[in-house]
Amino acid sequence: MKEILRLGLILMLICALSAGMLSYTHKVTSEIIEERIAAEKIALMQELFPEVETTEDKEVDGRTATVGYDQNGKVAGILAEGKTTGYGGDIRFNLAIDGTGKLVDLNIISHSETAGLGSKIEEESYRAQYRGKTVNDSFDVDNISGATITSVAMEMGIESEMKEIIARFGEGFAAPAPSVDITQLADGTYEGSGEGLKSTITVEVTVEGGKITAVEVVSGNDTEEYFAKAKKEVPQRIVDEQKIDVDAASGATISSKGIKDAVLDALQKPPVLKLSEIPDGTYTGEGEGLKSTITVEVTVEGGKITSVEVVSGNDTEEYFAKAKKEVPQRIVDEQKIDVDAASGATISSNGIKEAVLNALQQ
Amino acid sequence: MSVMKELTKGLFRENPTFRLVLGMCPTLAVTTLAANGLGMGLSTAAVLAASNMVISLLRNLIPSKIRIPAYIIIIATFVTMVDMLLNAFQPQLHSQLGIFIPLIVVNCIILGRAEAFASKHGVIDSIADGLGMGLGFTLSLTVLGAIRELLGNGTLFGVNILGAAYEPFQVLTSPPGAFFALGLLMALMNLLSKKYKLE
Repeated sequence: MKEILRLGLILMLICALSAGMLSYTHKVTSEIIEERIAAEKIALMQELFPEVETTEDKEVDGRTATVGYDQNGKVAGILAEGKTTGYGGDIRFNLAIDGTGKLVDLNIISHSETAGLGSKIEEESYRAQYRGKTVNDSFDVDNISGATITSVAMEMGIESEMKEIIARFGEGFAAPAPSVDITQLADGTYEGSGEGLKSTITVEVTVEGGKITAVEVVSGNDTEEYFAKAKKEVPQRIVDEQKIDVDAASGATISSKGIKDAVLDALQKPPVLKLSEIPDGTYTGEGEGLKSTITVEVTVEGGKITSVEVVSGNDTEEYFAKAKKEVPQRIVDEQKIDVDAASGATISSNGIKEAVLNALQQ
Repeated sequence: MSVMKELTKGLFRENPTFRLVLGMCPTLAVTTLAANGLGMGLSTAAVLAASNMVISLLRNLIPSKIRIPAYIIIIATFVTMVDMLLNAFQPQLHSQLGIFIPLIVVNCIILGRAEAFASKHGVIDSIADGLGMGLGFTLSLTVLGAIRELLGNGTLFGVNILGAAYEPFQVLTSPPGAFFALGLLMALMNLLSKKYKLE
């Protein structure tokens, strides 16, 4: 008994000595090690995002990311992992997204796609196609031939993961305004809304010959002092510069952003039809139904839709009959195209509405 | 005189790698590059000298019944210290040697020297033995690493020696190549020791 105690005591003494030495070494080295790891991380981030000054590892909803901040504390880059389900299983990749929401780089971490076909996602030439894209761009890149499923999975996966990552880690993100190609817009008047400081701002945008000719703030209830300034400056700038992402009115940033958002929203939607401006006559238009193309004849008299007639179309009769009966009637009754669909026949109804719009836009 | 003898015996006559065939695991694994072999060897030498010193100092205090756990604690302490110091001051080497640094704890050379030498000899002799064995280990690892790097990669300590036209003998950088190089070096050592009648 005594012997065991003595042995235990000696071992304990040695352990205590060892612990003392280790804790001292740890104290001396841990700071240096931590500093170095942080510096390495910053260097890695700076390689991807030159503006990064500090980094932070974050976890939101079970997703982790390394977020880099610039000298003003704004998010300058996000490095995070994403995944998608390919042909052979999960494809894991790293996405590097910079402070403007652009994909700077894409790296495949692991995949189990078919060697020689799907495995080509690792190739530089394939990955390069995604660089510079924002979530508002089309992710429809050149597919790898023979690996359509892998290609589609990558396109969809990268787009949705980018959105997820930006939604979680992109606070204060200078997301670029989704681009609308103004020169491709059809002539007409567009309506849209955006959130101002205290109210929803609605605008009317007029486009003629591929140019924004007028932006009018229709409603909105922000603090008048600032709102007046934004209302005066921002629409003018948009018309002058022929782009949406113009400088905000100083001191009225949020109202300005509301107006810009509203303009963007407007231009992303089809133009508003001004029935009163349509000359009398009968117009024919086409729209896609469930199984067939639906053709309609719309009669306008004195600035009013007087009749909508479905001329042809070959959707399942059971539902199509319902849509044919209800939707044209509603359009005439309500004098607008965006009426409620016939219940149970949404796609046929939308086809009819699309056809009417198509007719009246000509 | 005897200190000198303890110091030099590890270099050749009792070289731990080629003569005693101890510590084969790190020998085979880290010697892909000469610099790795050197770093691993020096780390081991530092641990070996320090643990030999402490064990020799405590040799009359440590009861023989618990000597093995006591030795392992002492060795592990020094290994962990070396690990931390390398991580702090030689991060590149640290990341290249990776798991083999913590594994010095179970390197049989160290426990072997503690058991066979330090626990029976004085402090000065023990330090000399540890240093000598450590330097011998360093020498063999560096030579092995240099041969594998030179033939397998055309470089030596990262400097290109054999020129761009040299087609690397890549098998030497892979694990089987370690066995080839080790076997040939051992044969050479046997030949030399027979020739100079060192046995």
